[in-house]
Amino acid sequence: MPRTNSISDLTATVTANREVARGFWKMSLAAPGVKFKPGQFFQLRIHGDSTQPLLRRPFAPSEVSENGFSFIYAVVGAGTAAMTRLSKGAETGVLAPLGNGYNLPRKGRVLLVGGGCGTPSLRFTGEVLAARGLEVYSIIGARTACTLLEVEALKKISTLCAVATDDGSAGLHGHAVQAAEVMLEEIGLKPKPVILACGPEPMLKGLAKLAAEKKLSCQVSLEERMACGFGACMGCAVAVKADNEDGFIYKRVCADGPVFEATALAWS
Amino acid sequence: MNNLQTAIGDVTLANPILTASGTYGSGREYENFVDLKKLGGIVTKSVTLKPTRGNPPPRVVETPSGMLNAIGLQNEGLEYFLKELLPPLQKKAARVIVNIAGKTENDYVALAEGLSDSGIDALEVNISCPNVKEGGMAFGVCENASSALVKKLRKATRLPLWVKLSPNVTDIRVVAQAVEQAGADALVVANTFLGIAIDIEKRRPILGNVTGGLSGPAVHPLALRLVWQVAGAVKIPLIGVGGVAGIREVIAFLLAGASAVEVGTMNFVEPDLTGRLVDELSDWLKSHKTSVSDLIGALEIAPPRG
Repeated sequence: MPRTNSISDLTATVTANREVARGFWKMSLAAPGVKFKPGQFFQLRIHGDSTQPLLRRPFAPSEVSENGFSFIYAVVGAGTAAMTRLSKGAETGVLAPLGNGYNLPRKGRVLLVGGGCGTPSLRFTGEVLAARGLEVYSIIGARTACTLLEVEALKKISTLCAVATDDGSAGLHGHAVQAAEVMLEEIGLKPKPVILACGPEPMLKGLAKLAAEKKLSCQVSLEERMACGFGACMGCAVAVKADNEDGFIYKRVCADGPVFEATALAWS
Repeated sequence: MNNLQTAIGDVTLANPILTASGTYGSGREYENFVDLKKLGGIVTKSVTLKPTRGNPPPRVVETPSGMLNAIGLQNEGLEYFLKELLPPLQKKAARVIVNIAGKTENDYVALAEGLSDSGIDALEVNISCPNVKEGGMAFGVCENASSALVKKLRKATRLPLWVKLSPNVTDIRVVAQAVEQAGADALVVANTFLGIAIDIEKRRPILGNVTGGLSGPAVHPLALRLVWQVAGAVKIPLIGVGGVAGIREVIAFLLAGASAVEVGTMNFVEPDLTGRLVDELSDWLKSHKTSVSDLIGALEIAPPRG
């Protein structure tokens, strides 16, 4: 995986912050000069002058421009609830870019698979790939129809885009992995699509299995509880296969990832 | 002596700002944010004799104004440290203090011997890691085990021995005095406080290791009390660590009796913090027409009325 470019610690101004789906908000930040590669992330400091919440929160951008970027976040705890109260003009701290990013194929076909709040970062990834002339296919998984994210944006850049919901309220009644299986049947394996995925661990694990069966290259972007985000604290450990007694070693999701080859991980 | 200078025994420091072990790796991750030379010194992440895998995730969880961690001393071991991590750090840091952790006395001794000729400035002896099953805090919570270990290390190396004490004891002064008598050059007060976080929906502990060590601004008053208490019990220099987020905490530690401080968890949130603290402390000392050495132990407690 490619190494990170140098990390900036800067103040970014909120330009928009609103709910875009039930329980999901989109925040836009003015942060000129920050450059992301698809799959990289940033750490947001919600209140610069407070120790509550203490740690920064990691997110990945869904849209990136020269003047700033946007991202979609699920409101799940006190930190993200505090984020919904940041209004236009508020200042936040941004540490970016962090992590390795996807090892993007230069040509051919790519299958993006997103689950829950993992989907929005694939919008940025897909837009970069589409602009480079690659053929993009996408799967969007969510619990229910009203929590589907970035459907319009992904449809726009995809040759085919399928949706799966846990409750069947939209698209396939089932998981994103099942939808990916259906799509692979439909589009065939010649030429072999590369799978890039971001979502909950069971989804990534299922995809890793599917990719192994079909002999497809698959890169997964992981999420783990994180303190620093830049490789110092060793807090965000993931088990990676190794030739030792244990059969694995722990690597850092933030600095050695967040993107890993699915075959490299020692899935639990 | 300029007003920022301080000394830990024979080790002079250009300023009292050090990094807390485990929060700063071997400095490399912070080069983007801080000129490492500007700090009093860098205290490395714990080095063990052999590579250590560390604990299963989750390893960190946020708590009110703090965090619990249970990393489990993950590192590549002494050989890798000496070859890959130490040489670049020595080029970039004013002082290098290497934190060592072992499962047995022999581990610690082998680490001290292995580092004796490496040109480092001091050893920080971690007898207080709460997140490993063997060694670590098992030494630090027992004055006899601490004392025996420090005596052995004293014989094994001429390097200054800074012993990092555990706060998870009934009376930290007992261990502090035992370690002082055993030949320690300085005491680092203290380490993280044992804690636990529970996911109430799943009815399970959040950390893979079940328990973890609490750090961050939340623990500062607790660490400050320990420094003040130990300062009244020993003569060797103290290094205060726990919850430093600004110069207010730095100065409080000095007043309570510390000769230097270590900055830990807040580095994760503000990676440029240590560098800024040096400048801000310098400004504060100038505006108050005082010096670090004047502040050490200068806490004034009013006599009781009547």
